[in-house]
Amino acid sequence: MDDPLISQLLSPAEHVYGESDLVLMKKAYINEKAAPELLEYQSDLLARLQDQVHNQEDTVANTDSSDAEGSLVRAIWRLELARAKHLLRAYLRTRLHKLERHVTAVLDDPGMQAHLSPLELQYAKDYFIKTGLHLKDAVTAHLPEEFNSLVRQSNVSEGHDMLSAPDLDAHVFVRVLEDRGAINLDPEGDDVVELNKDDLYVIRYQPIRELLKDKWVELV
Amino acid sequence: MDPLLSPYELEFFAEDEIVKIVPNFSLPTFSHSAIKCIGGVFGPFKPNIPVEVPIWLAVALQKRNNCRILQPEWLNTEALQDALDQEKNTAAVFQRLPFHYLEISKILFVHAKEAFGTDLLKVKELVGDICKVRLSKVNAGLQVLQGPMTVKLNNLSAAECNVIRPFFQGALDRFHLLASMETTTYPGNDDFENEDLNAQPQRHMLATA
Amino acid sequence: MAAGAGPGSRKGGDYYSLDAVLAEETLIPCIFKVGSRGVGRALDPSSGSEDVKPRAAAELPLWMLQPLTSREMLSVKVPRWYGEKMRRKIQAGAGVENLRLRCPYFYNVALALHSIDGAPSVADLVISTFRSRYKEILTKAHANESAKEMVRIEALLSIEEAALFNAGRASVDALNRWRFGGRAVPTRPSAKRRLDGGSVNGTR
Repeated sequence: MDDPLISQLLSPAEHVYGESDLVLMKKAYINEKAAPELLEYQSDLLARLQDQVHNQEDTVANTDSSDAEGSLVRAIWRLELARAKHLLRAYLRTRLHKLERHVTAVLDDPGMQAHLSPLELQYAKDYFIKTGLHLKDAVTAHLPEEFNSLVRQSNVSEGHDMLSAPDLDAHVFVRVLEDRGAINLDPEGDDVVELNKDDLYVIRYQPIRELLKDKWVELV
Repeated sequence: MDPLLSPYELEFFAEDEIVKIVPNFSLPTFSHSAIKCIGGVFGPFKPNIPVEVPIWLAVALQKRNNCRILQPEWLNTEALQDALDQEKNTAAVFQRLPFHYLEISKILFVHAKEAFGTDLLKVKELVGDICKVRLSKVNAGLQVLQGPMTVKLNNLSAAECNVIRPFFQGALDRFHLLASMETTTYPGNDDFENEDLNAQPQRHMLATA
Repeated sequence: MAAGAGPGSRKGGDYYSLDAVLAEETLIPCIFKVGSRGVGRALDPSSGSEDVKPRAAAELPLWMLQPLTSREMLSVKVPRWYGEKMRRKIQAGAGVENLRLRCPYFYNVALALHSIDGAPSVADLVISTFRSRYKEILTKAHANESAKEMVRIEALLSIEEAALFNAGRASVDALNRWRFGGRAVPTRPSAKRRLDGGSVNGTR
């Protein structure tokens, strides 16, 4: 177990730290917080980080703290664990918040449903059923049949027009991670923007949506 | 829940940035006198040998009197005076500072006062002046917005992005929404063809680097 | 229920937006193209008749317009707050107009009207209004204006503008609170709070 340890010690701290799952988690959280829509659930990252947290908790429990050395190291481990858990919670809570806001639009779209973890999907369904029952009780049960849907304003509506969908035209702050060259901001290609590494833009979310997914850019 | 990041969250993020410390301890029973954490391996810790660690660790050690935090190179009076002069002399460009320069300096001003010695007040003042100049440049840039645009803000810091975010995003969203009336007629039920066509695009360089 | 006249409905939108619902309550001047029986007092309680005659003028809430215009029952007139007089005032100085008094949802109502077939479009007017007011007064959200000036500005703003303006103020206040600690700079500064509010710049 010492070999990777040595190689990690030989590289600059920034480098070691820059690659950790904690940093990836932080970026995932910032992206989630800044994006108007619910992003893809980072299942691998979450699983890895949760594993690391559990292992570290075991290590802390098994480390003797009767001497000064052990107690110092345990205190540091605990502190880092608290930070990691804070980040995990913030990420999950931000997602739940967005999920509640856009629950009808998410459940209406199989593509969006695929962005959820199994637990989140269950939560979304439960949430929709509970709020739906309440809305039926309080409002729509008292309306004529043609107006009592929870997803269509009336039975002449052509689609689901009572959804609460994210605004993909909202502007976001993005940082460019890799040189990407020119991208089109509109389908006609009349408006082109040059994305070079480290550029920081305020830009509409829609044109950079795929670039965010493919990690050409990150949100700030 | 607030849809935006708070300055305190940015400070939390900034605590991952790296500073140099001088420890006064070693960890003889730990491999390489280092601490294996989730976020990486930190150390080796040896008395009087400077080592790079994240700020949260530096502050924790400092609070236990286990280390001395060193003044970062960019955070001394000469470097800051240079940055301030440059910042004043270049209206269209932001100087390259650490992305979390405000957060890092705030943390160190509280937890590593000793690192700055007699310069503490001067350093604080310079950071404040730099922030002031940069924010007034940002505001001057905001003034020239006239419609839907993509804006380049290279080298703007985390806290600066965050402070202009609600207003800037809100204004651009509104410009974009209003401009959508200008060149399209309402497409009736065919919403999907209505994406993006609208605005007369303009590029606005608030600052280029 | 509103027939998709909400400003956000263009994109699928936010059905539960309270502001969208309130904007749709705005009364818009209309002329009936055909007569309608039995709805006179429902539309206008002061009406002398149960029936509405052809060419009768009425003020109807925004949400009612789309279904009626699509049935060719109604023609929509330009509301006075988008009229010629307003146009001249905006040209003379958009920053002094009190939009809150004229039409609290000045922009969202225009967006909704734009989406109604056959309704007059006032796009150019509201776009130039926003452009001017953005520069003249909205950007002061981030400026170092006195509390009195901020209150004066806020009273002039439409609800859409006020949301933007206050969001700008709030983030500046949040940054200052974080940087300088102590008493928060109040979001809506009043002279009284200022007097007993202590230092807002004192470092800890």
